[in-house]
Amino acid sequence: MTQLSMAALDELAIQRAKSGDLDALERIYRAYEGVVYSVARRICRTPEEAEEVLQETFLEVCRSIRRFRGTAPGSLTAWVKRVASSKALIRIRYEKYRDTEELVEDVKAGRKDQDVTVSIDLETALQQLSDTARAVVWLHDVEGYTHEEIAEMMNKTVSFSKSQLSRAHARLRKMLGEEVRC
Amino acid sequence: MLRHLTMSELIALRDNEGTVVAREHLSSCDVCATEFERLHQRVAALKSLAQFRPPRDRWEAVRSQLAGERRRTRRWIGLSGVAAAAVIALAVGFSQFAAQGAKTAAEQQMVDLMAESQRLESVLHTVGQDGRVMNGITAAAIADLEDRIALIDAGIFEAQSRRYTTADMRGLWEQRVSLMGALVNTHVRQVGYVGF
Repeated sequence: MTQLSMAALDELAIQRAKSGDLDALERIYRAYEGVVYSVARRICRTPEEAEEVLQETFLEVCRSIRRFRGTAPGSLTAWVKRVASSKALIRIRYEKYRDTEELVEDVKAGRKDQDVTVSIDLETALQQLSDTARAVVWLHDVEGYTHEEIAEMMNKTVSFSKSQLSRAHARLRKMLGEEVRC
Repeated sequence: MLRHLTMSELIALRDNEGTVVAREHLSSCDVCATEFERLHQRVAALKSLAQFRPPRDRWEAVRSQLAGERRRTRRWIGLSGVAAAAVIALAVGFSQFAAQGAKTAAEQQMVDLMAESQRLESVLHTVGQDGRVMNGITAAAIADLEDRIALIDAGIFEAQSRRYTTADMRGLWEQRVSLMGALVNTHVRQVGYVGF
């Protein structure tokens, strides 16, 4: 959905959604399901978990939208993304995964430098990061959250967020074979 | 600077948080300049990754759960709406009684608690109108507190109709004041939250 249609959705549907109109709430769901699922997929480890986050996010949005006070353009998008990020972070906080970073060398060895596009390599490398590191790099570098906001959402310190980001980039650089030789 | 910049220093420079010394080194070191450029390219590549589409439609599941919650809420509102109105009327009535004097210590504590509850309602009315974006965690916390206050209001209404003792009523009012205080504090923290 384009920014223009999202803005129109903000103007036309939010008031009805706030009053509990299910058709208006569905319009909001349709407008944001891709955005929410993408954020969830980037933070969660599996597509199934991302689907759970999608559902949890919209339950929260539908329950809480009457308290949503944003009026600035894009504020609904920002709020929905924030809810989705928080839900995804809560999920990875309680889910314990086997750390797959030891598989990095295997991934590098199996990569076809000439034939595979940069985005596929990056997708693979991103998935090899720890859940926390992947969440921080995505929220900071792509979604534009500050370290203070990430720390608040993760219930960690700003230093933790900064440290995770630099470690994530160092690992991505290594996995992508980008290290500069002096 | 006699060494190359660390990843933390490169990211700090990208985020306009780096030191002057690091900035000067970057401008004079080809190795670090190359790393800095690759950092920018990597972030640009991250931003250009394709958006995912959910494999299944989850709206019906969301809609079904909301419909179930609404049915339960409608049953609850039948009592809580009456209860909230009764609690306010009770507070006003008790305040008038208090103004007439001749109270025991327990009655005086009730009067004080009701006055505090009314004061917090006024504060809440003010801070609840700030017009800021509310994040999901805060909204959930506020919803939870409001639900608990509604339960207490129903309890006060019930206790009043059954003519409970002043001591029992005081316990309920203490809980109401405590929850109202938490609700006000949550709204105040929300005002301090810097939105997008």
